[in-house]
Amino acid sequence: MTQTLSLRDIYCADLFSRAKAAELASHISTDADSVVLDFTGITFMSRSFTDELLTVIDSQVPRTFHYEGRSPDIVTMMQKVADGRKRERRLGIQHPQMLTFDTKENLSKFLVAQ
Amino acid sequence: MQTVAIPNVRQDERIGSSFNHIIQVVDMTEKAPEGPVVWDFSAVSFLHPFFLAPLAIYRQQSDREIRCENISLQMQSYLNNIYFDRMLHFENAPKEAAEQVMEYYAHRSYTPLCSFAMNDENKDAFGSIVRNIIVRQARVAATVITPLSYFLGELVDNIYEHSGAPDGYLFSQFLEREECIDICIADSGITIPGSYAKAGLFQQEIDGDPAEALRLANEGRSTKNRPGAESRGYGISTSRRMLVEGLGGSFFMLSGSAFHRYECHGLNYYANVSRFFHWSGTIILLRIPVKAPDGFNYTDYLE
Repeated sequence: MTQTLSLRDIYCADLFSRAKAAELASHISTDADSVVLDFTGITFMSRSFTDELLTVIDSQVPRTFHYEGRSPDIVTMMQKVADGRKRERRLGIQHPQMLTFDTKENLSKFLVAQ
Repeated sequence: MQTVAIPNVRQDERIGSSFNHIIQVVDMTEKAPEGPVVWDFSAVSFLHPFFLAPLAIYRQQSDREIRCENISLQMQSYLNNIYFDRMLHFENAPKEAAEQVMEYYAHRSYTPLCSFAMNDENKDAFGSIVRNIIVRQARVAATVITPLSYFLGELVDNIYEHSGAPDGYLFSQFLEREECIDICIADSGITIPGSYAKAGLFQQEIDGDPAEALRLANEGRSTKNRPGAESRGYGISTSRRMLVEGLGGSFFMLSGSAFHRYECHGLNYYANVSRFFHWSGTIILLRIPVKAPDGFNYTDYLE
């Protein structure tokens, strides 16, 4: 059977937290061999929520998932996160200054000068 | 009874100087003899949000009895409105009730000082309500609404995932003249160096320097990646890049005995202050322009 889950009925319009995404598994019927996730009414989905959602979906194989009502931002977010999960992480390494202050007075002078 | 003079931290002061004032006040309060401490507000006519929010959080966390005295009528009214004495606490409140309380702030330039419980079943609703209020207050441009949601979502979720604290804190103020929103997101948890120590990760790289721990967190090294699946750790690293490099804003993080500044005009450093200062938790300060530069697209920063 195909089960349709309206995310707006389960959550609020903004999907922020990883923990909330993890809860989705408990809404999936054991009888469902296919699940439609309906995003109608969802205005924002965070990267953390998306990553956890994809983890939930991966854990449900061989169950298949389909999507409805996704905004362009949500499509992009899901694509970027899915791509990121397939390749090695490129860390945002920069070359910042590493400073150590021995006294409150030295730090104070430094902060005030900026 | 020890008296600590609270400085008048003006609107035009930068993140660094606000932080400098906090260190002085905390230091004097900690070193005061036993018994109540008086914070004297007689010189205060304005409190910069990046000074005010940590001040309130420190007072809430401190074991000391701290009395606030000589507060002008105008300042008293403001402090009452932002719940300075006792933060507005969100814990399993129905969304409609929370919206109703927060509606008052839609026509102000600030939100109340909020604490939010880690076990809140409506945790996403809290972020959603605060975001909506800020958007209305500051008339945030459409291109900045999604980044604002991103910052709130990721940085608040980091507190839920990593801090080990019972509550998180949030405060925001719209500064009309500067055309920006100052947001403080904080917790009283185990700190970032403490989180790496607890997980037993990256201890060789950190080598006892808390500033190194902050650098690793800001580069995206998560304590919770599964083997072979580096899908976590993007919250802070992407938020700070999007804010500073994309929107031209400013980012500040204080955690334990180290802090980090990253600003669009070239400041990018990590500082170890363990010899003389420790903050019990993590504070993140964001200065977010209400309009995005031409050509900004938040998806360019997604990883």
